[in-house]
Amino acid sequence: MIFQAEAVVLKKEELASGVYRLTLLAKEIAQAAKPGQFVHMRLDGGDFLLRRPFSIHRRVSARAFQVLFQRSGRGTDYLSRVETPARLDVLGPLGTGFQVPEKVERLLLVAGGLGVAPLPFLLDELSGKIDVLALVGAVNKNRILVLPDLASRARVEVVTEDGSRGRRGLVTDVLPQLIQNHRPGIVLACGPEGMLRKVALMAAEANVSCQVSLERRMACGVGACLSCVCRTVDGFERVCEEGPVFDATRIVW
Amino acid sequence: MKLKLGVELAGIKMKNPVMTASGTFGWGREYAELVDLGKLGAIVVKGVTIEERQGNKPPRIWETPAGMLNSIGLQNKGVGHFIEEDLPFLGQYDVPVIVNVAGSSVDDYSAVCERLEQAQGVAGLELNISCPNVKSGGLEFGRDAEAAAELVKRVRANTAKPLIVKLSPNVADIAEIAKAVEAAGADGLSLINTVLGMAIDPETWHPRLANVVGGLSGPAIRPIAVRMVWEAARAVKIPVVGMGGILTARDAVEFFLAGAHAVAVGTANFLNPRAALDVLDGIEEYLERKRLTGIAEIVGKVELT
Repeated sequence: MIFQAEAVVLKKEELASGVYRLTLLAKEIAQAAKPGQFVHMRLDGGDFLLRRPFSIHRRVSARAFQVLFQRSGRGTDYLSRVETPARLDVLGPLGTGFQVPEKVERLLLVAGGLGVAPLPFLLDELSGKIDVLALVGAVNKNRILVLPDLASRARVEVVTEDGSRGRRGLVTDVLPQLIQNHRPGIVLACGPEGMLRKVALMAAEANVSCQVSLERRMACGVGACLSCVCRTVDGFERVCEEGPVFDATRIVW
Repeated sequence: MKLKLGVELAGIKMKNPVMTASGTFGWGREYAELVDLGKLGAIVVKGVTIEERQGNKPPRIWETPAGMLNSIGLQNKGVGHFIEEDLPFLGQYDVPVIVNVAGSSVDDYSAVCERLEQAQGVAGLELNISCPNVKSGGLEFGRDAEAAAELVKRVRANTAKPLIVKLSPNVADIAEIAKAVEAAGADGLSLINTVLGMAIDPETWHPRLANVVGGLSGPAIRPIAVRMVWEAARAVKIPVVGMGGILTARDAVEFFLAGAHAVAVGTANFLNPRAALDVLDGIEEYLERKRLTGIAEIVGKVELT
């Protein structure tokens, strides 16, 4: 079920320079949400602006959820300046989230930069029996986000491009070795498209299942306008409806 | 005082004059959870073609000041799938379904109309003539009065259903096209479709759309749309459906005053799934505030002196 709700902004936190986390009160959306889904938010600037999609970062209670974002354009700039208790028109929960098969015993998460956004929610909902390794990469230590939220439920490997934290390099530099050591039943990845493409390739080479969360500019967000399509082996599919999470082997990069 | 909002447009009975515009509302299913479809005056579904179409390579959209560009490319599963899967779903709701018909040749359009003629639950057809005519080097049917008339004449001969023709604004003289299409047998007109536009990324030097050129919609095109509705409505006797950047009831009123008998809400649905219903509520409030009894009192009533 999807809902159009007037969500109340309960809290706004700046986690790093230009990176914000909002806590939103919207009972029906919070209750119906599943990990990997997103919300489509209306950002009024007194001007025509399409809604912007944001991963559901975490369900924090029966009535509230969080989104995590970086200020990078007009929409996110507006959002970074809302003050509590502002009200925001939110559509959701939308899309197809992560599907972790029943029999999986070990999970490998790969996140690049803001790609960590959907992961805390996923970790919250995972069975406690699953052994999770989270590989998190960013440009530098300041852009490694929400580490405590991940570390409370998973072993975390950090990689930074400048080596200021963890190993120096990209997540894809260390991924093949981690797959070999951890032997996951599935790899779930979220981050820049270039990273996802390489992760998909590495998982395929290791013969491990992989799901990726894609991002596309959207208009309607509900599957009606066909703007947000990506290419798959079965033709164009909607990132807002058949996605944002896809079986990586189905994507035509 | 009960307002007279019901409209009979080109033979289609609508409970109110607010419709959803083709391409912005899918084939109804996607918005059904958020909007009571039965409250709409009519739904104009996304274009169907004779064969399934994949649509254009992405990126397919780009946001622009007060609007957006799109080049979706008529992705759809074909008229057969529409008849089998989408029509029965829509039939659950008490709302007229107008099917937008697209094609690359006169034969294509005719073939789709023929299939729809037999189908249950089709209140009318909206002919999308802004498609490139591949037989004439890809020039849109709607950009040439003769080609448009020829197409309408062929379709008219094969359908008894109410036939509304959706005009392209990318012409020098909309009245000329409107008259040609009326003479060819259209029961009504709808306008405007999107305005051709383009955007370029200053960093990469590439167009923002994979298809290079796309259609501009949203508030930015509203003055163009109001002007064309006014010009077309003066030129023909058949009724006109006005659309182009309607976000609010005040926007819709402009179109009625310009000569539209009904309006369609399109891009606004992306901002607000309930946009069409909010426009309807606003029209009622407007009529009450102005102490008018119904829509007929504002259609074509723009005062030029």
